[in-house]
Amino acid sequence: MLRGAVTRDPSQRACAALLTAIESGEPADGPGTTVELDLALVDRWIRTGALVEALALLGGTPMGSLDTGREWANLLGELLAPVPVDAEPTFVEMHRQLLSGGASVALTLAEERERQGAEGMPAWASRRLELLRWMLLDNAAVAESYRELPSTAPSALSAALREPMGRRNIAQALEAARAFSDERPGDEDARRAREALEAILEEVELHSGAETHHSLTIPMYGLPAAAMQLRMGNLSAACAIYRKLEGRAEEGDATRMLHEVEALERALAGMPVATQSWGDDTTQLQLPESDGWEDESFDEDATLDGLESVAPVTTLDAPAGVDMAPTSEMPGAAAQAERLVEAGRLDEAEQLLRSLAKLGGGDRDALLARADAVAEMRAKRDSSDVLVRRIKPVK
Amino acid sequence: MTEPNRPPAPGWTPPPSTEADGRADVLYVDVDDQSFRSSVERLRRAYNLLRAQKDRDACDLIREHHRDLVAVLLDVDMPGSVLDGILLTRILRGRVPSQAVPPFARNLPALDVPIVLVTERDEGYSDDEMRRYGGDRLMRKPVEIHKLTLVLTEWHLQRAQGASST
Repeated sequence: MLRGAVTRDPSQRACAALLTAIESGEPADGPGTTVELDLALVDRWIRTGALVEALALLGGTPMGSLDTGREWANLLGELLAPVPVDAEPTFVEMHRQLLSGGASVALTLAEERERQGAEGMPAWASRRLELLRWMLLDNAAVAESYRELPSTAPSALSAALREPMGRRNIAQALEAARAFSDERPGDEDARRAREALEAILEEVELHSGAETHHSLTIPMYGLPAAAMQLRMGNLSAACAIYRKLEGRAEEGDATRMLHEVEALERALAGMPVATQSWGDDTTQLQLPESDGWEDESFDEDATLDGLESVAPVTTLDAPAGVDMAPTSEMPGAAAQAERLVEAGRLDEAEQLLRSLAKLGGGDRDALLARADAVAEMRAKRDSSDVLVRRIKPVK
Repeated sequence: MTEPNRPPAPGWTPPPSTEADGRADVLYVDVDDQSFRSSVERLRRAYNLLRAQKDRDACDLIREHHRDLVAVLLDVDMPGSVLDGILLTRILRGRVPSQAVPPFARNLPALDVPIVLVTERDEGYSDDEMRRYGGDRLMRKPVEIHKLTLVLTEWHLQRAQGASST
């Protein structure tokens, strides 16, 4: 599990130290809080692409021998199994990404390969793509919803918003809020809920990439990731991302959006909305559960390494009559690399560009040149990080 | 314990293990048919098991398929064979002087893949002992897919981290 964590995120220094201690035979006294090892934790890890850790947890605890745990362990065992020695470079790279925490990049590569010709996909590869989709992309079906929010004082406003939000339809929730507000011109809570929904819908549309025509699964980070969570009705997940983005200059909208989403959460929970303003204490809101790791990357506020990443999303053709808007439409993998650059995830962007170049995904020279440029950006950033860290007070 | 609400996993009926469909090849050395069948049933979704019943067959298959193998599973006891799993492991890792190696097991190609020893017995060797002999893990039969993948994953990550630290 520690190997998986360190491979996925080298900034997990506590994990690296613990791994070193175990390897050298020292007592393994881990830092941090006690975390309940249960399937919910495994589920969260799977959703965030920590597949190796999830498999190790299942394999190392009794969970892996019980019904659901055993099924998940076997599916992870199948997904993470080595690819054949003579497998296409795409699948070799996909496997490497899966082992190193790049589940969303792996999914991108596999789907690109599928788009090039599904008939040429070996059965095992199609199966693994299917499994990967199942593991990462079923969030919308089981996502947290307003029902999990503390609802101490349900209100008429809450009742009006719950139905459309339960269907994860923000546009209809906004319509309901507008209607509610129009009927009660003096209701400040309704006005504030309407404003929050307008802002949320605008944010979702801003990041929906509607200008593109090709459907493609992509990994998402930062504000787009939060917007994707909003689109799926995952308010608490969106809040968790915005909280982590707060204070980063390049994510200036995070604070504003956090307050908009919290306002909506309050409305849904039947709590006062209008009296809350930016900077109010929000500790009464339900915080997301711990993911089991010490989130030390976010102590390093000088770096961008800790940007929240979430499972990628796929655009699907919505069945007729089913209210399931596509979660995102984005350009190709090269454009995804640019998004990674924008999000400050330069390591992954460089890796993706080099992988694409190696796999013949477009203009090889241009991709390699861009990868070199990103590497240079990363080097500059890393050197500036060192300076920042030196003057940062020790917490 | 509340279970997360996931939709059912996508089902799949993999082709029979005898069909060459491109799954990763694993050498399985065990004379016990029942054990082999049980392991095939558990592993076939991701692994294609090449079976050898005895040490000679194992050496032949290694010579023929060493480039394709991603792992080797050896029965600890290997009844009916000259070599047992431990000795064959040591030979495969080059830890036995050539004069002490039976002729059929000499000049085997180098195998840079995990070697897992399998057994039906509760008592046996510890993982530390396995590593001393050159093996990577001891597993109870039948081998479960997640356990084998976990061993292979750890092996890959260990290699990758070792490479990056040098």
